[in-house]
Amino acid sequence: MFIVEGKSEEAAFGAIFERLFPRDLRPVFAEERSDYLTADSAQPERLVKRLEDLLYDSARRNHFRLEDVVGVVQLADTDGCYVPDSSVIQDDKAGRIRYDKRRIVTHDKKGIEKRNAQKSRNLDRLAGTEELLGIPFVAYYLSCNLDHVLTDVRNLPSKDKVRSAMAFAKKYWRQPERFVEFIGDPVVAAPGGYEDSWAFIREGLHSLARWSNLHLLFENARGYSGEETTVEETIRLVFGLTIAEDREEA
Amino acid sequence: MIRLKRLTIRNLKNIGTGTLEFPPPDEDGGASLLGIYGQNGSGKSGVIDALEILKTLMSGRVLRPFCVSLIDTNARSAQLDATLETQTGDCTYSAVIGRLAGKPKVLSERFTGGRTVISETDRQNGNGESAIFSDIGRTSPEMLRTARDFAGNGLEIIRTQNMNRLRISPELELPLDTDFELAPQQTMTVRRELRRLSPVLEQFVPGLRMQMSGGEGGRYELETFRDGRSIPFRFESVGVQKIAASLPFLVRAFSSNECTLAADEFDFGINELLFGEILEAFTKFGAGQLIFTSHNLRPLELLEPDQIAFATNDSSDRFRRIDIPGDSAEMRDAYYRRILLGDDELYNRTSPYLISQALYEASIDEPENGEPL
Repeated sequence: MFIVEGKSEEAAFGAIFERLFPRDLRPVFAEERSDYLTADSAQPERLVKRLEDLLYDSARRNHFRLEDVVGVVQLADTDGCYVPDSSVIQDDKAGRIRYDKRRIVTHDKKGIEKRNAQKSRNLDRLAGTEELLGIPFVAYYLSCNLDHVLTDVRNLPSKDKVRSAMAFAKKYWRQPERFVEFIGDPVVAAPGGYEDSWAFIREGLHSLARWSNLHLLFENARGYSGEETTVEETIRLVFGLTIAEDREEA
Repeated sequence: MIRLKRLTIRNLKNIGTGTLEFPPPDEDGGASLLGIYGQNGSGKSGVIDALEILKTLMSGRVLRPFCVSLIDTNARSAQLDATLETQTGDCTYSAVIGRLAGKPKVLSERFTGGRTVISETDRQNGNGESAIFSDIGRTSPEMLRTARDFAGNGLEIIRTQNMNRLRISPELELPLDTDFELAPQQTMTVRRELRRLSPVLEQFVPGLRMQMSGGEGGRYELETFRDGRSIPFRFESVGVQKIAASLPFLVRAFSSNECTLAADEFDFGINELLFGEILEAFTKFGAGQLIFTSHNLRPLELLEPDQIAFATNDSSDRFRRIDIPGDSAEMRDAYYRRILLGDDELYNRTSPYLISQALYEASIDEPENGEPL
């Protein structure tokens, strides 16, 4: 179960994941409102409840039960939310927001600083969440946003996002293992394991740069495509991070 | 009472082997229903084709040439076995149909009553008709005559593509999508039949009645009538035409326990609520047998698990039931869930993402470099 911020993530990853995942593991996407990590009402304490509601809602719509969900994967844009306030530049002629290598340019510096604070708190909360309704949970980031990771374009107009994502998917869905190579390429793959990769993105201007830790989902699971693995093992591999605890308990 | 009890199909269209058991009516008699589900291309309509072939053969008529195209191109022949339940016991007709000079031929056939073989032929140069049923007279065994009557009069088959005409009598069908000529002595019969069916239509489509207009130069047209306005049937939707065309068959299957109605794409063009209500009427108060294919899943909420069969992706065992834990009212949810959880036998996986991707890629000109086509 993938929780995403918009339909361009579905357009980019839907077809690829359909082909990449074992046949008995079906990727289901649930879309949150794009501002659910940044709106005034989006306090970390309420976040988990909100995601739980999303899960219930998706189960109802798609006729599955919570027990069918082997794991919940959050995909979130960083939007430069971890940069110091000094990197948020006021420019009255600018639009609401423009990202570049070193700064966020905006006509509303105060607003963006507030948004960054809100979003980084929420992302921290997600990164530290290990389960949702008893289901293993992992959060991966796309920095500074989906388009930046996929096509190296930071400020893609909203109207072009879906088409761009589909053009990206076109290159990979027939050979989805090539997507695993793409997302694991050191050009975009943030260094370190799960926790290190989150520490890394919080540093300096990294959340404006082109990074993602989504490769960890496949790095843990890379073994499954070639070998015979049981559903159970595959799930453990896919959710290696959080399932590791279960294994210890078992 | 007579009804279809079991049907086995071999090598017909994409059905390698498939057996359907038709559930018996409940203790009070009543209707016998079976809904056949499956994704597009899974072999549902093959059941209707098989019944049409059986109807032709068992009523002593010659198979039409196109039937040859229904035989699996990788097989030498197709075989159909149908068991009927009659007042005097079960009987089974089996026919092997092959090709000869591009036409369908009955290669061998057998009719058994209980365990007794009543008639059997093995003619390698057979014609496109049944040797057993094309030669039945008053002295033929009673079971054979019963089976022949059932095939000729009791078994009715309706298909979406034939739903543009209204059957007035076995000899007279009138088009719904154009005007027609009618002999003066036939108009009485037609009007009487319309008066009989119109109140039924009115309950299916509230307030809508049907009538016949015209008469100048012997040309007539069927039309609907509601709120003081009449509209030629040809301007009504395919759905309304289909409902009207189904009525004579529904009336019969509802009221007669000698009638088996096989309806392909029974839900086609019918509002889901209405579809459910028609089935409810049949299950509760009907007398005959109703076999239908459908895509609409409403029956999964209304019928019992033994009244639903699924066309699977396993060609060697094309039809099966699914076990539904708990309440039968949850069959619809269970069906969705099993598909979602990857039951590839029940449903060859489709995906909104792969569909979107294909639609997108078909809309752009340049193929990806080096991409395998």
